[in-house]
Amino acid sequence: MKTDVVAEKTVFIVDDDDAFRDSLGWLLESAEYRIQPFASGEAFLETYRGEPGCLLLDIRMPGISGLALQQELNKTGFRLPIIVITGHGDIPMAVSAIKNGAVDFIEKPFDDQVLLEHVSRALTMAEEWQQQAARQREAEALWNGLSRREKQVMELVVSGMANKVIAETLDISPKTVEVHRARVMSKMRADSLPDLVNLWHRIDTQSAAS
Amino acid sequence: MYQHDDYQPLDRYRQLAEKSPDLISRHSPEDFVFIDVNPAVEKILGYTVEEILGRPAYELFHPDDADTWMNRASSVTYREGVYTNVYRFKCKSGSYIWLETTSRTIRDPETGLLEEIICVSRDVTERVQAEQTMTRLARVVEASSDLVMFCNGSHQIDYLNEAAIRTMNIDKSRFPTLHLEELLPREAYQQMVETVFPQVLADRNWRGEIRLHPRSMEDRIAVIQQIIAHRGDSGELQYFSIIGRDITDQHKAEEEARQHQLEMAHISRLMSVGEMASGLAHEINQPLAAILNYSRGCLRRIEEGSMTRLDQVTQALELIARQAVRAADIIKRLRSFVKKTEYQRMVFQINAVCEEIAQFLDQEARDHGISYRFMLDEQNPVLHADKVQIEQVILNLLRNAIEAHGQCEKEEKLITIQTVSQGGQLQVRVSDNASGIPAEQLENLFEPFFTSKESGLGMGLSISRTIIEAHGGRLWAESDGSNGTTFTIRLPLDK
Repeated sequence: MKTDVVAEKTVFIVDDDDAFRDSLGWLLESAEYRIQPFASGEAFLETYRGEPGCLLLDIRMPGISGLALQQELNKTGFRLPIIVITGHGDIPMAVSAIKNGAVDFIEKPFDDQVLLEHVSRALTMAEEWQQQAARQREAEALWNGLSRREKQVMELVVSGMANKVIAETLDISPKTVEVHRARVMSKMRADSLPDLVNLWHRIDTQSAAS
Repeated sequence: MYQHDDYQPLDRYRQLAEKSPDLISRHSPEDFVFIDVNPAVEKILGYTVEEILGRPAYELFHPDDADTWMNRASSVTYREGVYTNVYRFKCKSGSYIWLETTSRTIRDPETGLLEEIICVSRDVTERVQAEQTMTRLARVVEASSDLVMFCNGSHQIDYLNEAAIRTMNIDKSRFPTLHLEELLPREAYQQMVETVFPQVLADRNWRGEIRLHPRSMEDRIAVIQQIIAHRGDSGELQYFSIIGRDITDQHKAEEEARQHQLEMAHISRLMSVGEMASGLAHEINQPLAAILNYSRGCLRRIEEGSMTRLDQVTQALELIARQAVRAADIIKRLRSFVKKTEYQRMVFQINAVCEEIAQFLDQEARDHGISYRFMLDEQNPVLHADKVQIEQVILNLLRNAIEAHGQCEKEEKLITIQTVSQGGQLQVRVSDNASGIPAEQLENLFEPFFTSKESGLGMGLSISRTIIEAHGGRLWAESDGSNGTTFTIRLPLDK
């Protein structure tokens, strides 16, 4: 039923209501999900270190509220798809949660089928995010392997400049530009110019440079 | 001979006049010129005899008193041919002293023309000033806004000042026979006799607060605050002065403040019911959601064959049962909240309550383009019940009516509020002309958690009916299913 990719992920549950948290875990386990429950946002933030999965988050809690937890999580840099669980009449809060980056919300009490669909979708999304992140890390690693001059040349190449113009801009000979360009293509493992442009878009030059 | 015979007594009179401490003088009728004066003039007025003789006394009168004698003013008395006048007269030093003068006019026996005036005057400045002080004090007492009464040892009242008369609405003709007992409630008078007066006699002074309540008093509220015992030189009790205060305005201000506070508490109570409903919705949601999760989880396991043993099922059912109990407890708590904390019977006018609640929801009604129509019983029936609870019921019915209009598209949106008292029963009807309630729903309307509203909890009518039944009344709904709904509260009226 489920792909292996989904099966190795964890559904994190953060809800202050013991019975509800327990019953939610019970339901998810019946669909063979691995779960990890937390009674508070604080407890979750203390434990979570970027493991793949998704988060079922109660929006109304004492201590760190659902919304605050979401903001805290955004700060850590870990990307975890969040499904917000709202109670009766919490729609405005759900809207804020979505604006904050939650991928979905579900109003309790909910139908198990609906919940499981949401979870499955979130985990697929987590997988995509994970792959994206891996690709980004890869591209950034390659970028960091370039020399300063090679980085300059790559920047100008992806902006669409011809070798001659690059040579003038950097005040070096077109021949040298050609050598640098070949090294960039090889180091970045790019087969073509479009390939290189794709890689370029994955790199966050700001964070990669630091 | 004749002269000689007369000489002796005249001489003695003269001697007497010379030695008299009183000022003895003779005056001409014109401007009262001093014709003759005894030496006392120097001590009393400061002028020597020589200085004063020939001077018109008229010039030395205080301007305000100059004509009192001529005009026979109130300061002048006449008895057996002798006038007595009290007036201010200018001394040599320029200051005025008060003189009391008895004067006699000498007239020509034949023509009756005024020949001269003989006066005997004495300095009464001290006496007059003391009298003036007394008069002023009396005026202060009389004009004081405090209530002042004097009564004797047997509590007979012989004086009341203007404020006391006015506040207690006392008939002035009753003065001579008015007794303190009549101004106080029986127990208060008893308390005065038994403890207050003995204490006044012992300590001279008593302070406290005793409510005055004569039968004649209408809408004022007054209290005795102080009693003073006055004794004569030999220590015998002369009279008591009783000082009180009209505290109507103060009382009214306090009452208004209290009323205001009550209203605030009241509004916050109405609000808190709304908040409670929303909080309750969240609370009940939790066990319900848990029950749903447990049962769906069970079904999945059973379907997939991972749950085969009876003890596994039993365990799951126990989890479910526990959550059902939790939900039931929440409902129980709500019931006790409604029952316990708000049962305070009082007397109030139902019409006013209807109007206030309508006012309270006025903005909501306007937002929906709804107008009210009042058909209130002209006899203004009075209900003896828990006002807050009755208000909650009416608030609930009105809000329902407003929301009913919100869900339909009729052009004229009207809510009629009617009160009718008849045969010892009071009916309050709240009718809307929205789309009505179908007959099959009408029966379930008062069941807990029955609702037709997106945001409703379905507790309002259930609680309302509980409240009305606790008051020995009934609450029901009628609707033709298309042209509106009427909710009727029927409550017994006190005989």
